[in-house]
Amino acid sequence: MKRENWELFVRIARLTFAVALATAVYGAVLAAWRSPLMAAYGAAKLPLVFLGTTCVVSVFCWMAGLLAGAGLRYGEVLDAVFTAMGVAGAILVAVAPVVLFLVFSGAPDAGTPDEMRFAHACLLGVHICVLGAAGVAGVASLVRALRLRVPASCRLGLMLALWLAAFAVVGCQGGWMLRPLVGSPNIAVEFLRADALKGNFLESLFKQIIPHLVHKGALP
Amino acid sequence: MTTVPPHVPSRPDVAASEVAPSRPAEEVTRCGIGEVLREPGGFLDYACRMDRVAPVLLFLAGVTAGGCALFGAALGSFVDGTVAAWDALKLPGIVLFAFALCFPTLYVFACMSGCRLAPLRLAAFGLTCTATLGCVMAALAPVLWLFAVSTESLVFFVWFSCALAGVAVFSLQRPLLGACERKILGTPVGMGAWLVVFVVVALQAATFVRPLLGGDREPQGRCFFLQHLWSVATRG
Repeated sequence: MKRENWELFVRIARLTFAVALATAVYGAVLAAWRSPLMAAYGAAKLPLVFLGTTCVVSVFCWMAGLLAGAGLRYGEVLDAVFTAMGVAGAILVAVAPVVLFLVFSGAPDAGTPDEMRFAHACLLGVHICVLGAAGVAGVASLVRALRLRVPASCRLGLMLALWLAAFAVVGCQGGWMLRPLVGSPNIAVEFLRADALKGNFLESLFKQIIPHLVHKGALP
Repeated sequence: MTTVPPHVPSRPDVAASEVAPSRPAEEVTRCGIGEVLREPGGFLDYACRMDRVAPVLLFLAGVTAGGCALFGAALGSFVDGTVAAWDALKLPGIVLFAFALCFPTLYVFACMSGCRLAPLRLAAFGLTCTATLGCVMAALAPVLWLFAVSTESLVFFVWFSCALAGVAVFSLQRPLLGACERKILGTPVGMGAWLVVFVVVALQAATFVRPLLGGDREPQGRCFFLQHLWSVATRG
């Protein structure tokens, strides 16, 4: 193996390890409100979502880059993606003590179903904000890094849109399959749900969530 | 004959050494509260090139604690002297605990904002922000006390206290913008995000150490700060 390729391989391996560690820490925080066992499950599952999504979409991202005229090698695509994930991971680790404090000082151990549902909704809101902010920071660093690497003729916007769409769709499905990640208060602690491989998040979105919002929520 | 290489400063010190030579810590603390308020960017410059960080950190933590204690005493005087004494202890604890808990976030966000300060100097930067908060809170404490001893409605007093605390938090833009002007930070966006995290943690810490005002009128058990605030500020 050429020295240049070896250095790239070592860099990707280090970044992969850092992302796995950071997401494991946040995964534990994500599920810590239910029980220590659920926190351990979260620490195992969140790295699976992040790294598994990258494994699934990396070849597509590389080809999309070639089609857009970026001229990136497969290793360079992985390097760029894991660098962005590393930035997001650094934010997740930095915010983890704050979120842990919110979890243990705000979420009750027990209460009425309404109180537990409210606590669950609050925690979901916090996690969505944190993961969203980390994602935005990661994408911003990805854009900066790619601008330096790709030629001026590359259709960078199109390429990024394809990459983000692929990551969003596969990442959501990965998270959906590995439910529960946060842990609903009225469902027993388990590593995977029995219906993990039945259906997908888009079906759930269009068949359950949107009709629920339309008929029972704010919409008339 | 061997040539001695020139001293190469470590990376975090590069930006500081470009500004001016090192200054003794006593000179920094002698600048006093007026310097923190008048020219926070200049104070941050001092903090970046001082030789010993610990005295400055203690000075800034002391200013923070003192200012928050005054505000806490004024807040608690709405109920009675005992609650005022407890709140004078609780408020500095809330702010300093929130700062300590948010320090990893401060480090990461500051790095992403182009800051090259070493962690201890960054702590001085963060404590300059909390000291500014403490100074403004101390200045607002007499106003709060005046309303505390003359107000009957808990709901009004909670909203009024929140408004004054909001003014104090708003004053934090001075040190943040000062740091940007002095090139200590590249952009204020990351630090603005940190400020949001800091405020959320401080509010949750305030909920954690309740009662602050309402006694048995505040919700029991663990709850989020929004529930606590909403409960006190609507039902009293």
